[in-house]
This record gives sequence, C-alpha cells and structure tokens, in this order.
Amino acid sequence: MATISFAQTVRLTIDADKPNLKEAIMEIKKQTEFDFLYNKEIELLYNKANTTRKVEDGTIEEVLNQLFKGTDIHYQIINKTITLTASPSSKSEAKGNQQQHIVIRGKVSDESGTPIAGANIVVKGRANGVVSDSNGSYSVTIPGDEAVLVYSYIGYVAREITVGKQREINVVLAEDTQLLDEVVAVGYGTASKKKLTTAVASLKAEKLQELPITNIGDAFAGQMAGITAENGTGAPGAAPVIRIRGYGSINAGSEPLYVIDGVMATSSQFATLNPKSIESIDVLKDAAAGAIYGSRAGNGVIVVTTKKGKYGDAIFSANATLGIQQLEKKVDVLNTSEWLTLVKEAYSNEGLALPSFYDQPLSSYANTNWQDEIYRNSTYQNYQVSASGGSEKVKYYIDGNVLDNEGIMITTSSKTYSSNGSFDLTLKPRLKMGLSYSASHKKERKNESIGGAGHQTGGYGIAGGIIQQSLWMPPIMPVYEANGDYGQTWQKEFMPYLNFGFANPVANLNETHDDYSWNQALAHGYLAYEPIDGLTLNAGISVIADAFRREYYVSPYLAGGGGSIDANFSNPAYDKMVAGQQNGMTSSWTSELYANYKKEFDEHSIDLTGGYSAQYFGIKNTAARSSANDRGSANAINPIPPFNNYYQPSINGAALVLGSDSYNENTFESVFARLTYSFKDRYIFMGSIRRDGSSKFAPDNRYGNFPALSLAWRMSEEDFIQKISWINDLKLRASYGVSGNDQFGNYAWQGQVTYNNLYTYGLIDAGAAGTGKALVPSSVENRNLKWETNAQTNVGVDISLLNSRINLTADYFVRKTKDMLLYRSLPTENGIASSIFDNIGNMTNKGLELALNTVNVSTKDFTWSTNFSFTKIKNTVDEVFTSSGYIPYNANDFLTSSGFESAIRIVEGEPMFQIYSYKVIGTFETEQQLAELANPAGNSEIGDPIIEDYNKDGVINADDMQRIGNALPDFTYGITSTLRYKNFDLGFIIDGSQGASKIMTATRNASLLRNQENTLKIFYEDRYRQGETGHSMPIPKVNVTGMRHWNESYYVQDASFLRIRNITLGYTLPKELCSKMSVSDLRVTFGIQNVHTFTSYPLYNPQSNTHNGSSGVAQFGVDDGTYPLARIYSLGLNLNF
Amino acid sequence: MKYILNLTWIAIFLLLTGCGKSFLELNNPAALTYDKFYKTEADFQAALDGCYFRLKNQAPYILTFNESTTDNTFVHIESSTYQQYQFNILAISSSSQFIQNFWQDSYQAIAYANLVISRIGGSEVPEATQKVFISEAKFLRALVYFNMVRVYGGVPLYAEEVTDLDAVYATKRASVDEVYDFIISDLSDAVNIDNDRTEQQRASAKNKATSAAVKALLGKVYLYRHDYEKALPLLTDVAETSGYGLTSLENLYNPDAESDNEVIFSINYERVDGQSCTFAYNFLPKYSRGILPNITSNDNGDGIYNLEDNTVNRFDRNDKRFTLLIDSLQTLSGGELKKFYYTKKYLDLGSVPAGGGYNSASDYIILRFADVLLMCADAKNQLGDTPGAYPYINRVRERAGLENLSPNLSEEQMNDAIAAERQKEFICEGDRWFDLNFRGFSYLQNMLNAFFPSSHRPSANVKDHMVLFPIPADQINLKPGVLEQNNGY
Repeated sequence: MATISFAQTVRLTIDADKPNLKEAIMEIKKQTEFDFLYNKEIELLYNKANTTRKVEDGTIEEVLNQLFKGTDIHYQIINKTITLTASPSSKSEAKGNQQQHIVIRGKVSDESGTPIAGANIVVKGRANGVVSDSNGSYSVTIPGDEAVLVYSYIGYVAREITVGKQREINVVLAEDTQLLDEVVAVGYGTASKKKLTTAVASLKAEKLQELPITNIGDAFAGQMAGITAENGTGAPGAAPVIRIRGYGSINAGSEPLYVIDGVMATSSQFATLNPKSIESIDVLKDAAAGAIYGSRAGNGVIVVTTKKGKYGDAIFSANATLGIQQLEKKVDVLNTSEWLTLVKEAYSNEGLALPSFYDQPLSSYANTNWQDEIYRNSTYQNYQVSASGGSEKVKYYIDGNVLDNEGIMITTSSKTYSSNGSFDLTLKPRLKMGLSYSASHKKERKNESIGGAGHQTGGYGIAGGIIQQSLWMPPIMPVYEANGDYGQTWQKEFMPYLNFGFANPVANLNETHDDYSWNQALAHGYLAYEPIDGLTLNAGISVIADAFRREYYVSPYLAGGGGSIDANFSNPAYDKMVAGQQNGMTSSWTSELYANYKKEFDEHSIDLTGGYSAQYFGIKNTAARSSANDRGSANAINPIPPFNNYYQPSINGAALVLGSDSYNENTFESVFARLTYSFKDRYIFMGSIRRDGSSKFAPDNRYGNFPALSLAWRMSEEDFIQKISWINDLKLRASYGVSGNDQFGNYAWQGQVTYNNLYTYGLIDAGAAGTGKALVPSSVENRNLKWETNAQTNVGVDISLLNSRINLTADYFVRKTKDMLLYRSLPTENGIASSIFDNIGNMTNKGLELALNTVNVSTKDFTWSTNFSFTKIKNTVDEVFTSSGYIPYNANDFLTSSGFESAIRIVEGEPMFQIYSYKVIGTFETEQQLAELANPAGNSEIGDPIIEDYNKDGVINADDMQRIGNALPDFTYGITSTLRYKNFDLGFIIDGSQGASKIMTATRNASLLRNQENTLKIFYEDRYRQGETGHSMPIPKVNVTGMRHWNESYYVQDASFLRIRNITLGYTLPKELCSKMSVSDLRVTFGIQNVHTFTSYPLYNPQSNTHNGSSGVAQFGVDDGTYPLARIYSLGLNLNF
Repeated sequence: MKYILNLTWIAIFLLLTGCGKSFLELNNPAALTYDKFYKTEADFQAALDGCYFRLKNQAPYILTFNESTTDNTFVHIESSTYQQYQFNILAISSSSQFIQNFWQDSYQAIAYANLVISRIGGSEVPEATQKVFISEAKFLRALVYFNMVRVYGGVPLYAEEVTDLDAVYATKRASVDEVYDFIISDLSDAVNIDNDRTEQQRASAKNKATSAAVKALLGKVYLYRHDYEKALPLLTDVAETSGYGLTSLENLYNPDAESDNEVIFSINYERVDGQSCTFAYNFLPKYSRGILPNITSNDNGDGIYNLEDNTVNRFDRNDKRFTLLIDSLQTLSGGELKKFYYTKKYLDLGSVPAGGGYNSASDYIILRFADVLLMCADAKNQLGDTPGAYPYINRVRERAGLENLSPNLSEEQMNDAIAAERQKEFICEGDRWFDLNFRGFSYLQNMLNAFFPSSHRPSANVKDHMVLFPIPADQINLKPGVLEQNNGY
C-alpha cells in the first residue's frame, strides 16, 4: 500500500513534445524517485507514436497514461519501479498488423456508490486483466471497439459491457443475493454452485459470524440437510460428532474427511478452529462430489476455507463474547424424604428390620442434591481480533483468538489460544505463492471418571463414573462430615445393603488432577504458476505438527479410589498416590502437485484437473505411570511430602509400573483426474477418478480405483422454462461414484511377532543355562484385506422460484457399503488370533434430504428468512459374517462388562445398532401370575418385574432379549430463521431428531433401590406398591441379588427431541453513528445457547453418546453418563474498523 | 529462462516427494513382522522360548482338570460362576471359560511350534541346530496334543503353519487314534535330540526337551495307549540308563535346590514379576491372607485348592509326603474353628521381596523320575508281571519313608496300589483325573462316586459322558457342521 500512496501523492509536470522515451523518462526521474524498466522494443513502440504529451501537476498515473496513450505500452508500478511492457497484440502490430488499441478508463462502485477496490476487469477471451485501485478506478487497454469487458468482484454479480464508442466506462456492480452464484470448494479447485453436478452443502462466514457458537460443530446443527452434529458430551473443549449421510461403516470409522485450506486434517484440528476464522465450510456429500479425494471420501468430505485477505486497506475486526453458563437440565431424582419413604418400604417388602438410624426426624438428615454439588454456574469467554487487507501483490489475513470455557462441572475447564493466518503473494503476473497456518495451544482439566465405567485416572476411578454417582448417591449422605472429611465412610454402618461401589463424586473431582495440553500447528504453502492462459500448475506442501501432554495425579485424600475409599483428609493414604504422564506426537505431511486447465470455446467449456498426492501420517505416544501403591519402595513416587494439598504430578526418579508406547503410521499415494464439461452452460458433465494406495493393505491390495460420474441439466436455461417468469433456476442432477474407507488399524494386514516375556532355563542364582526372550506371533497375516468401498447414487434437484425468494434443494441417495471392514471371528485353532480384521459385510443407507430456504418478507425495513432442513436415512445391514446371527456391538467398554453385553446388535437384514433387551410387561401382581408365567430367576415374588417369555420356552434367559428400539433416528430436522427489523435482528436455530432410542446404562444401578441407591423420580412414582395394581416399575427392595437382570426394557428410552439450540438478538449501529466513531461496523448481540430441549428422555441429553475409553470414539445408543450440555447466556460485540 | 527455473523447482519438489514403492511399506516399530523375524538362530531360539513360555499357560488348566475334578482337592468358593468350582462339582459346560481357554492356549502352543517347524528350513540356522530346534518343537507339540487328546478326545490336527485361514474353518476333528499316531510320530522323530546337540548344548539343556524327556513322554503315551510292550523298554531305559534318580523330598520342591536329578522336564519359574509361578497362591489354604509369611493383604491369599480331609487321612502319618509337604491352617469359619489342609509343594518360603509381595519360584514339574518308576510298575503289572512291579513302586515308597508294599498282590490289587501311590506322590501336580481315567473310565467313576458323598461336595457325580470334556461351544459355533461336540454335552 505504501506503493499506492506514494504513487498517489507525488505530483509532477511533464511536457514531452518529442517522441523520445528516454528523454521523457529522464524528466520523470528528475522530479520523482521512480525508476524504469523497459527494453528496446518499448522504446521503438513509443518513439514511432509521435505525438505530443503534456500534463501539468498530475499524478504519476495521469502522466503515464498521457505518455502512453495510443500506444501498446503497459506500465506497472511496483514500489518505486515502473515496468513497461508491450501488450501481446502490440507484438503482432509491430509485425505490421494495423489493429487499433484503445485505453478504457472508469470507476467500479457498488449500488451505494462506494468504490470497489480490487474488482477484476478482464477483456473477454483473455486471461489477464487489471484490478481496480482503492478509488475503484481502473484503466485497461482493449484491442478494439468490439471488445467486451467483464467486471467482477467476489460477492457481486459480474457484468459484461461491450465497449463500442465509449472510452470511459463507470460500472455499478450489484450485490449478489442469489446463493446460486456462490463459489464452492470442491477439492483441488472451486466451482460455481450453478454448475455443480453433485450434492454439496455450504455454510458461509456470515452465518458463522452471526451465531455466538462455542464450537464449530454447533454451526452444523440443523443447518445442513444430511449432516448431523451430535454433542455427545458437553465437556468444555469436546469435539462434536459429525456424520455425513449417516453411518456408512460399522467398525471402520464413519468420520468424514476434513480438508482445511487444502490440508487433510483430523477432526480434532477441525474442532479447535475458531468459527470466526472460517470463511466457508463446504460439505461434499455424495460420492461423486468427494471422489476427487478417492478413498478418503468414503464418509463425505468437509472442506474448510479459512479467511483470506482482500484487496484494499487494512480492515481490523474485533469480536468478543462473554457468557454465563449453567446446567441445561437437571435429572429428577429423589430427595431425602422420598428416599426414606422408599427405603422404609423396601425393608418392609423384604421383611427386614429397619435400623433405628432411620427413625429420626427428617430434619436430622442431610438432604444433598449431588447434582447441585458437582455442577456450577461458570463463565464462557471468547475474544478474537483480526486484520486483513491487500495490495495487488500481497493479500493477508491474520487473527488471534482466546477461548476460555470454565466447565459447568466443578474443576473442569478448557482454554484455547489460537492464531490463523494466510498470505497470498503475486510474485509475477503468472506466478503466485501463498502460505496459510493455524496454530493453537489448548489446556484442559478433565477427569477420566466423568466418562462412565472403565474410565479412570491413574487406575482409580469410581464405579460408573462421577455423573452416575451423582445420580445414585443417597441424598441422605452429606458432602462433608463434621470433621471436614468428605462424606463417604459412615455409610457402611447404616446402609448395610449399599454394597455397590459408592464414592463421593465431589471428592473424586477435587482430588483427581488430570491436566491435558495440546499444541497444534498446521501450515500449508503453495506455488501456482500459469504458463499459458487457462493452465495452472499447483504445487503445495502442508505440514501438521501436534504435540500432546497429559499429567495426572491422584491425591492421598482419594487414593485407593473405588467404592471403599479409605483415604480422606483425616487419614491421607500417601502410599496410594498415583502419578503419571503421557506424551504424544502427531506429525503429518502432504505434498501435492496438480494442474488445472480451463478453456471456453463457442458454447463449450471444459475444466480439467489432474494431479498427484503423497501423504504421511503418524502418531507416536509414550505413557508412564508410577504409584506408591505398587510393590516395593523402589517404585514409590519419591518424595511424597506429608502435607495437605500437595500437588505432585512428577514421576521423576520413580520406578515405572506402567510404561507403554504406541506407534501409528500410515502413508498414502494417489493420482487423480477430473473433467468438467459444459455445453451452453446447460448440460454439465463431470467425471473423475482417483487411484489411491494405502500402507494399510498388503502389497497386492494396496491400490484402489475410485471413479465417479455426474450430470446436471440446468433446465432453467432452456427456452421453455425461461418463459416462466417465476422460475429463476431449475437444475436436475444425477451422480454415481465410488469412494473407499480405510479407517482402521495401521498394520492390520501384517502378521506380527511381539515380545512376550523372559523365559529362563535353569536357575538364575545357580547360573542360568539361558535366559530367553520369548517372541511370539501376535497377529495373523491377512493379505486379502482390501478397501471398504462406498458406492453412492444420488439424484437431486435445485429449484429457485419467485425472484429467488424460495430455494429448494432435494436429494435422494442410495449408499451401498461393500466389503465392510469388521472383526471376523476365527476358530482359535489357528493358534494366533481369535479374530482378524476382514472385509465381511455389506450395508445400505437410503436417504432423502430436503433443504428449503425462503425469504418470507423482504422490505426495506423488515426481512425474514427461514431455512428448513430435513433428513431421513434408512439403514440396512445387508450381509454380515456371524456365527450367532448377530454381531454384539461391543465397541463400548461398558457393554462388555456387565449385564448389557449384546444389548446393541448388528443383525443381518435389520438396521445397524438394534437395541435388544428384556421386555418388561408388568409386575407380578398375583400368586397365579407367579405360578403361570415364566420368571427370570425362578424365585420371583409379588411386585417383581414380569419379563416377556419371547421365545415361549417357559424359561427367561438371554434368548428372550428382543428388539426394543434402534439407536439411529428415523429422521432429523432443523429450522433456522432470521428476522431483521431496521437495525435489529433476531435469529434462532432449532434442531430435532425423531425415533432413536437409547439405553440408559447410567441408571442401571438406580432402578428402585437395588442396593439403597437413589433412583429416578419417574421410576419411584410408578413403582409397585402393595395392594395396588397397574404400576409398571418393580417393587423396591434393598437386597436384590440375581433376580433382576441389568438389561430390562425400562432402561431403553425414546431419545426423540426438539431442541432450541440458539436464540440471538442483535443490534447493528447505524452507519452514521459508526462513521462518527470512525468504525465501519458495530454489532452487539445477546444470545442463549441450548435454550431448551423438548423430550421425554429422562437423563441429561438425548444425544449423549458414551465414549469408548480406549479409542475415545463416541458410541451410538448408550448413555453411560456423559458431561451434560451447558446453557450459555452471552453478550457479544462485533466491531470492524 | 525464469520458467525453466520454476520448472526446475517443481522437478525438485517432485523428486523430494516422488515416492518409490517403499513409501507404502510401513512397519510397527513396536512389533516385528513374520518376514523380518524367523531368520537367524537367535530368532528361532526366541520363537522356541515362546513355545516353552506357552506351556506356563497350560499348567493351571491341567491342574484344575485333575485336582478340582477328583478326590484330591475341593474349592471353597461355592459359586456357580466360579470356574474352578464348576469343575469341582463336575458341572462342566461347553461354554466354560477354562474349556475355551485351554483349547485356545493349546493351539497357540501348537501354532508357535509349527511356525518353527515350517520356517526353519529356509533360514540361516545351521543344519545341526535346525534338527535340535525341530525336535524341541515336535516334543512341545506332542506334549500339548497329548494333553488335548486326554481332555477332549480327537481334535483337529495341524502339522504345519496355517497359511490358509479358510482351511481352518473346514478342518474336522481327527480321531483319537490319529492324534496318538501324530504324537508318537513327533516323539519318535525327536527321540535322538541329544545326539544332535553339541556338548555345550547338552550341558545347557535344563528345562528343555532332552532324549530322556522325549523317551519318558513317549513311554507315557504308549502307556496311555495301553501298548505296554512298547512303553516298557522306553521307560526302563530312562529308569536305568538316563542318569536320573530320586532326590530327597526336601530338595524336590525347594526352588533353591533345583539342581536335583529327579526332574526330567519342568517349567522354570523365578522370583521375578512375570516369571514367577502364577498359580502358587491357588494352593494356599482359605483365609491365609495375612497369616502365612509374606502373604500380605495386598495379595490373593484365598486359595482355591484345599485338600480333601478324607484324602489327607489316606496318608500314613509317617509318610514324608504328609509330614514334609502337607500342612494345615486353623481358621474361624462360620463361628467354628476349622482346619484346612494344603500342599506346600508350591510354597516358596524363600520369596521375600522388599516391601512385601510374593513371587513363588517353585517349578511346575511335568515329568519326573518317580513318575517313570511308577509307570514302569504299571507297565510290568499290566503285562502280567506283577512281581516285576514291586522294585519300582518300592523305590518310591522308600523315598517317602514307608515300608515295602505287602507282597503277593494280585494284578488288580497292584493296579489299586499303584493308583493310590500315584495319588499320594503326585497330589496337586495335575495327574489324578488322567491317571484314574487311564485305568478305565469305570474305575474313575466308581472311585470318585464312592468318595464324593462324604466329601466337601456331596453333589458331585461322575457321569458316563465325562470320559471326555466338552469341545468349546464358541468354537463349534464358528465351525457349524464341521467341529462336532462330544457325546453328552
């Protein structure tokens, strides 16, 4: 910009009466600091023009324009150097062609008269043009009067003007209100949405800007048809689970591919991005759209483009959001009075003598609501500042973000510092270079025990996890004892039947320190070169470097863990402390070379892309743990100081009791090509193919070919439709494509040998005859392992009606997954593995997606628009290899360890994730029923549940489990709406899901006093009472052993819901006020996130998905108690200046 | 010119990333692949170490199958879901974890041995050593099949590395005869192993297959086939020419005196985490937690195998196998002072690591000289030479401090005497069920069914189908119509 201002400020006078370039230049150099670059040809060209040129007190541009008027000489000012070049046609003219050359000047502005800087002005049919300056002014040389100039600028409708006799053309560009003219990222390039032949959904920066969303996943909810974003957990910093067109795979992942500025990245990198740093998100839904990413696109592709600098002066922007958050919903459990009623009833039901402890007046007992103790109101803060701008040579964008989310559960928190930037340089007219980066540092305090059973920090968790405990803990128990200790030990005396592992969740949260930190960096550099018009050669390299560290420590006041906490403030267990650390490193690089060729001739246009890509991805982890509890003083954490509140995560000097490492590396190599051809802009064809090689397969099966074909017919361009005035756009699309999936273990095909242990021959003391290191095969080689493939057929229509006030996109797809990667059980006779990863199933997803966008009202002062999306997917498992008729979906830790095993099944011919359970059809009310009906353990009594004898064999056993529901919804939908009145705007987001069921494993122990625990209010109210009939829940008992199964149907609940995700009220300061404050835009907002969920689901979140402890992958259909969602009230400020 | 420069840059970029074929070849640094392993002598030694190590897994099952099921021991944890208790009351189900695990563990040992046998041919291992390693692998394979055939009957046979997984689904059970033929063939191949060894290798063959071990096992196999003519010369050869002999009982089970010459083949344990005897605790009495030396509250002191009182009473009070190897612990149980008898064979009192804990170094003995002597006695008796059995059985009695067996026993009486002697000699060593079954299933049935009513588990009852244990149900489900279940399960 310094260049421009210098060029603009300097003024000079010139009087060149002789056609002598050298003299003219000398004159300019005398008056200014400009230098000139030119060659002999230019001098000849100038000198033969032979005219007089005179300028008084003009800018350098005015002087140069005057000097070169009527010649074919172009000038370019870079810093203080003026380069003179001859336009290509002048060369032919120099050879004697008598073509005329004319310079056209003018200004480009928008409808309000504001100059548009950086608009492109191109002579139609030529590749290079000029760009308007900061005043919107331009000058361009045209070959003759018949030339057509094309004026374009992002976000505005391009205009074409035939020059004719005009020499000054001032152009007004209209803002592009039609979404159809959007440009979308399609992988290795962009495409006009108009010409798309495939199913792509997009979300632009404006949408992201308007919402006070806490993470990028929230931006998806309800906004785009076919895309679900589930907040399985509300933990601060947690990433949402995003699925495109449902679940395409059972065991190999269903994770979409994330491409951030051309870099194939991970979901966690995507989740860490600040929504305000994003320019657009394009979701490639069907296989044909994603096929250019081949095997990686099996579950769809999410292409993220971060913000880029634009031509013009620097624009600074600041965003601040300040919020208060609280628990969205409290689960209704019993208070002390109700709990005592239940306990007394239970003792009486079983004929047990009630301990005298329960005879005291109500006021003498504690009445603890454990949910009140572990949840809190907390703050949410997000700040972002950015600067962007650009000149002809450099465009830049850079921002900094801080996101501070104090969790709503005590002790938990997440804090992220991040920065994004991009720099695009025009090195030479045909050579461009750029760099973009995203870097962040995230700190979180977590607690593994939140996540449910089997999740423990340092091996010390509590049964069921903190959230379950907060629901089960008897309200009669105090948080703290009179002596300041955590309430936890006295219970044994008065609750003899409380034999399940109860523990104070407050103690667990306070005394477990579990700190995570991540440093993430992602950088992408490219070089683009245009050797001839229309052909671009691109070379890009990207690097991802992530480092992860975890430090954990269990204090001596909790140590011992579990249900029998022996330690407390008054009796610290220093010998049971645990400390551990983990380090992980993710490194990845991608290098890509690709070429793009665009050509238009007559009514044909082609766009050809082809290239090569290589990628390496690796994660290496190391973990070490030490514990004073482990044998031998040499292993103890050293030193352990015996004073209170000492935080000691160090394992320095300790002998390790758990050291582990893991390696996960993979490589890809691909070639790809895509051709788009359109005729008359009406008939559009796209074909693409990608050949992928993956290190995850044996040499013979490494490569897979992934082709795609798609067609579109823009009917609205046909005459017979053009006559219909109310149809603005009508397009029919059809596509077929194949993509692949290799989201599974990195070395799965290999037969591996691992170290087993030492084996000593003879006696060590007596001089061993030999100590052998036993090495044994640990996995079977599977050279047949190959790509899981996804063949998807899609038909769709895009309609735009009534001045584009109504826009509808509808798609129907059939997605067939073949050779599904699953664990296949092997007869153990093979001696090495009980299962191998193999291609053993087929599955179909059929779906319908609708996206309806309407502008309901559009006047000067009042606008109202609505966006409605609807998705219905029907899943069928067509074929699966199994010996028992189903595959128990035991990917979840919890499902393998208690009565819920085989509760979620993959059954051939049925949708995946079927929920099976023992159907409770009432309670035993009469002796006759007891005598006649099959009862679960053979010793049921009045009031116990009646389980339907499904197979009618007179015995209740696992064969009587029947299908109660399915974890996948019948359909999902979303509504977003924006109202604008003068300077006020109001928006809301609603999303919903219908027909999914969930197993509430979190309440498995809270089923009506199995062992004196608290229970759900709804269970309590519907419990069997002596002498009454018609209650569906069983009789309360305190000493239930074996009689009740875990997996009764009352744990399976309908998880349908409608959620008001977001309401935002905004006020935009009027322009006049803004300019007085010398800011360009100012908007203040008030928003509520997670306003309310309408559902019959009794626990916190109908979308809750329990996380698998080992892999961290969210599992469908199981609610084992996950971090609830927060309702956030926030104030926001957006400022541009 | 500039374009050429630019193109050069692109070319360099291509070269940097232009990846050869090896780009897609990745290996886990934490694991070796088959192709990289199985090459050198050290590799195959490590693979054999893995085979021997596998035998450690066999021991607990062999113990349960022989001790829990018979009159030797009872399990005090009376829960129907407790594995050992299921065997204790003879409620052996085809879905029993032990039945499944023993099947899997056995085939693991077989697969490891097969990998050695199949892959050593083309390796760098010197030919003489190849022969030794193959013999060791065959001995181990035979030992495992011998255990399997006595537990399950005929089982699918695998003579080499499995390369076609589909074939596993189609492999049927071999007949009992076929399995025995296979075992005999393996052992016959391995019998001259010592001749293939160098002097140095022979000196360091402790806990490895030796000619004596192969002969003793082959003799036992022939004995179990009731082919006494073939069994006798092999067994007497070991008894008379191998250099092995009886040692004192004090030394036999003392891990610090392992250099005795009675043990022909055993699994070695050390007082080191991961290398110690994992089942030693199981032979401690009930409530021994915190009572026996070194057993702290952190350790599992509640034993599994408590000796049946009536069986303990069968020992002569002067029998050193009673005075030295059996002890009792008095415990308050249900308000009553009770006496629990236990064996001290695996009790390693020398294990006193700093900071508590208990790692028993007591070895698991698979073949020992006393067994060979008693097998000689059996072979002689079965061949009709009852008097010829006396010297062998009396040597074992003499070591226990007992008088000679009364003379002039009939063949049947001698059979009973040997069975009784074996029970006392090998109690808690994993022999009883096999030994009684060897004498005929009805012999086993009569003896145990007469015993159980007055034992700790009056509900136990040996039924006809129990001559064999069940084939694991989960495996039958994987090979429907191919893998057949034993009768009665």
